[in-house]
Amino acid sequence: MPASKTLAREVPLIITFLLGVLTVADYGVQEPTLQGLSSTAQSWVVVIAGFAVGIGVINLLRGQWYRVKTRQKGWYNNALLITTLALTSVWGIIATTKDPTYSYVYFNLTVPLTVTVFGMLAFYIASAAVRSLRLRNIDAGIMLVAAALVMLRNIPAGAAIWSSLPAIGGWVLDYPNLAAQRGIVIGIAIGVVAVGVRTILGYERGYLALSGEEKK
Amino acid sequence: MLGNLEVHNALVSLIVGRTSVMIFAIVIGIIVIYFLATTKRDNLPKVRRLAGLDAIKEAVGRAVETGRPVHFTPGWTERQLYTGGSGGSGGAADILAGMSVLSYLARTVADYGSRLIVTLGSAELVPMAGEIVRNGYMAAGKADAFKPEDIIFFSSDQFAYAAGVMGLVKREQIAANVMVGPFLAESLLFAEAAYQVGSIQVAGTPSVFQTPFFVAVCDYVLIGEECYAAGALLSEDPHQLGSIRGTDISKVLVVAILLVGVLLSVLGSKVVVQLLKT
Repeated sequence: MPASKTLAREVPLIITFLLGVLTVADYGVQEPTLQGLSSTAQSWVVVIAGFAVGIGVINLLRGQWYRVKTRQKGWYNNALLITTLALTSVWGIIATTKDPTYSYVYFNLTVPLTVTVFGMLAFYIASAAVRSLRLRNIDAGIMLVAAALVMLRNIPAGAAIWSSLPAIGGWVLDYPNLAAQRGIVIGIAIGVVAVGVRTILGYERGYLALSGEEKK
Repeated sequence: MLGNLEVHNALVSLIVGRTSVMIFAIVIGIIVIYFLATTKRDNLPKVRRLAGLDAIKEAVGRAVETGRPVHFTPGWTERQLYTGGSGGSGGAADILAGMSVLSYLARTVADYGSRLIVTLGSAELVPMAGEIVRNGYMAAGKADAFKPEDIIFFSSDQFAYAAGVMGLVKREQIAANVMVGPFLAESLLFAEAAYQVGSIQVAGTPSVFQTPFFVAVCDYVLIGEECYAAGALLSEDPHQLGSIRGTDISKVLVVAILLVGVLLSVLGSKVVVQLLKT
């Protein structure tokens, strides 16, 4: 294997190993040198994240420009995005993000649009609930009853129908639901340790984007 | 000299409240490493197949039949990228799990001759995802079929990203939607958007708050630690498969400690509870 390929494979593995061990040790051990090294590593992360913003903008512009250039369906939306991105960036750099007009546009355009997308969740939850709560078999029946009890707990009509309904719904949440959730969380915690060990030791290499031959 | 050593040693101490976590992590780590090192091809553990992973080929096959693309997203990863996670999520480990599935998906899509679109909510993942997909196409001998413009970063803002993905899913009429990673509130938005265009959906997230949404909408779901096992299963590497046996034995150990703790608590002793708080 050429030396450059060996370097491309081995150097990231060594960096992963060193930083992985450092981060784990820093989590549990109080030692000034260790904490200093960990703090430096975290500063590198901030620097890398800064560069990543540039990569993100380039990727975004490249993809959007390609759609404009090839006149794909709705290309004018991509053109609008490029124009808006350029205007906002230049305006933000020249007038700073504290400029009242800049802030006005952000708080009266970006924020309401964001909240609107989040608001769609309410309708999607209702639509997903209707589909998943159909009484098809015993399992679906148990889920339907549990969901009905929890819903009745959370609306005033539940207590109006029967004063004990909220308590029953609370029991479903606090005991069977919580017990199952904690079982899953314990499995996740152990799984995370296993992924961490595999990654630090260089067995898990999916993130390195090595070709099939190099993975072996 | 001795005095200096003593002063140095006094500065080294375990952080109170994290000692038991460290001990657990080290013990579980040793168990996993033991099975990583000792598992060979002739003593492979019997691992349950995950329907969600088996369904990936079916989903890609559907995409080929319909002539529509396959979509992959690891979710809005901006907050999880540098954290240990929360709400049952494993943070950066979830992203690694997602990237392992992407690696397999890219090879499968390239083999079948379909098109893969990857949408991202963190700019940091753009080079990694791009290289993973490129290598998938190269491994299938179809390097020319890789299109860099199909690795799409929309925004690091959660709902701007979500809006971008939902729009793309509708415009491209995706045939298969694969979502594995650390999802937050965008999980149901993506799943419903893909449901509305009739996609076959394979989803997985360790987040206990988002799993119910996937279960309600998607065809196949990887729950909790299954996401972390996915990378090992897809690699078919004996050592990685051995690590799954290590995690199972660790679970038995944890359950045993839980049972002892419950028994002692019922008898009026809080020894285990106090030890776990150290």
